[in-house]
Amino acid sequence: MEKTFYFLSGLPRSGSTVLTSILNQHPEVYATPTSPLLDQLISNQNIWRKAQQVRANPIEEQLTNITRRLITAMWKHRPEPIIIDKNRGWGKNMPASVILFEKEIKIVMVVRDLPSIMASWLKLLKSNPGNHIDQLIISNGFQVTDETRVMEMWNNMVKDCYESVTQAVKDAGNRILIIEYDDLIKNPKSTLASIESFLELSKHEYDFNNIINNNNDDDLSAWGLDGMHTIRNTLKKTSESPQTILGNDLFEKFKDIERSYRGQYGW
Amino acid sequence: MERLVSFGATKSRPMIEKQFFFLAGLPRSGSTVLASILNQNPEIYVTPTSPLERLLRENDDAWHKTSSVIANPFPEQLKNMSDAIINGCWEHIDKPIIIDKHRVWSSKIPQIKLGFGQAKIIVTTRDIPSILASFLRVDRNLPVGIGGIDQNLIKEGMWLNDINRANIMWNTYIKKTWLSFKTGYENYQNYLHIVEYDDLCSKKEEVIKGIYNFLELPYYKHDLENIVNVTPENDEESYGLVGLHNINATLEKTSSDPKDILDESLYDKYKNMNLEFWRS
Repeated sequence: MEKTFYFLSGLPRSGSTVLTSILNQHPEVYATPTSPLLDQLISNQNIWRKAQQVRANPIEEQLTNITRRLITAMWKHRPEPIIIDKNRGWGKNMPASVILFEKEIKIVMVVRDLPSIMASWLKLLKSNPGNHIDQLIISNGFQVTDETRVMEMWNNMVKDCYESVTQAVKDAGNRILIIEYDDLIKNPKSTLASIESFLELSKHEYDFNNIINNNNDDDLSAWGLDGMHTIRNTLKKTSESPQTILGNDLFEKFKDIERSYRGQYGW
Repeated sequence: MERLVSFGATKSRPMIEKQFFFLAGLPRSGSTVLASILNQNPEIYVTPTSPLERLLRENDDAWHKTSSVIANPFPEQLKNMSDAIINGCWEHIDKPIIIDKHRVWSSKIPQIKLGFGQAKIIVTTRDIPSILASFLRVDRNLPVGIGGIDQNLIKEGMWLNDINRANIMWNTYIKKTWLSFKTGYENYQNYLHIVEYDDLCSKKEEVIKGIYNFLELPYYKHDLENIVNVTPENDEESYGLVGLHNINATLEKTSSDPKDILDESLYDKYKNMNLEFWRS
């Protein structure tokens, strides 16, 4: 049975784990944890093109057939007919995805105000003493402070995700649904309804008071930070404001950065 | 030690759509001509040197290294990916039986059993001095310019003579394959069917029948007077040598005595190394 594919992408610390956990209550939907599919398809292309045996006798049809079958294989073990494949990389690869999937796939993008994203990272870094970001800061000859931590996160990770969202808006503006974290937390029912209508899913009654992430998420081994995908089972805004966590200067700094991105690309 | 979980190893049976066999063997030992004969059978496709083993192995490696897999490994993915690559690789060929050709298969029996369900490998062989002589003949018959062997010698700063040519051919073109065959022969001999080049030339029909017997396929009457290579390869791109896979239409043994091509001391050197372990 061929499954229907959608993508989930967007900014980090913006509710993608809680959103996938809610979507997974829908009996026809499997929303994946961060998926290896995009990486695997890129690896396979590179392996195929570099193989001496292929260079001696290249048959593009071979790559197309393997690619199509790899897409089917990745989540074949799931019984659900609809797959929402989560990867931050999809945003930057929407034109490539049309070639790989041989069709235009719709994409849901989660976003959140930048100061809150940075505040969330800062809390995670503080609860992971000796993490790789801190080590990187030290090896670059700087002191580990709130400022060097968030700047390292911004430069090494969050900035790229921002660019990924703007790229997707440019390349695939007609098949993107942007979900603001605050809307998801405050109005989950209408937010899920908008996703159902965008993805043409059947209607489902979600239980917003019993949200469970069914994945084990070995975040420490994979990304070097524990607790990245730990969620609460109800939707609640964090009590501490980003201004309190970041302090005034950093709060204002990221407000400015955010204005320049969102204003420039209109999302 | 190579990981044995390669090729999507799980206990569940692979879902392979075509029937797969394998062709391995030493270079210059008749695998191209054998492939050309078997390809006359409308049910059988013998591939040119195939990327399949590499696609399976490197995709398996890539999967294990992906962060998202480390965070949430689903082992079913590996098995289903293996099936996908195997089924996709020759999907464009409209024949139900594939004989996948790669020299490395002779040492990959456990992986083949896991990925494909069963392992039957045809191995073409020939004595090493004749293989060296055959390489040298191809190299000498190059139409223009300097061949891949001589280019390698120049790169290494070595003299262009037959001793050095034979040395580089043994080390770069033959030894790895020979070792792969030796590994398979010593550990999984029952899964291998050896075809000697000289037998293929002199007792064609008997040899071909032996292969059908080994593969447990119904015999097909081949036209052994009119053999055409339907899967030509771009040898210059891959090996820097033109004509490695050109064959004669009638499968007569045209090659002269290797002693005429290698001089006597060179012939003796490789003869005395007794590299033909499968004959002892």
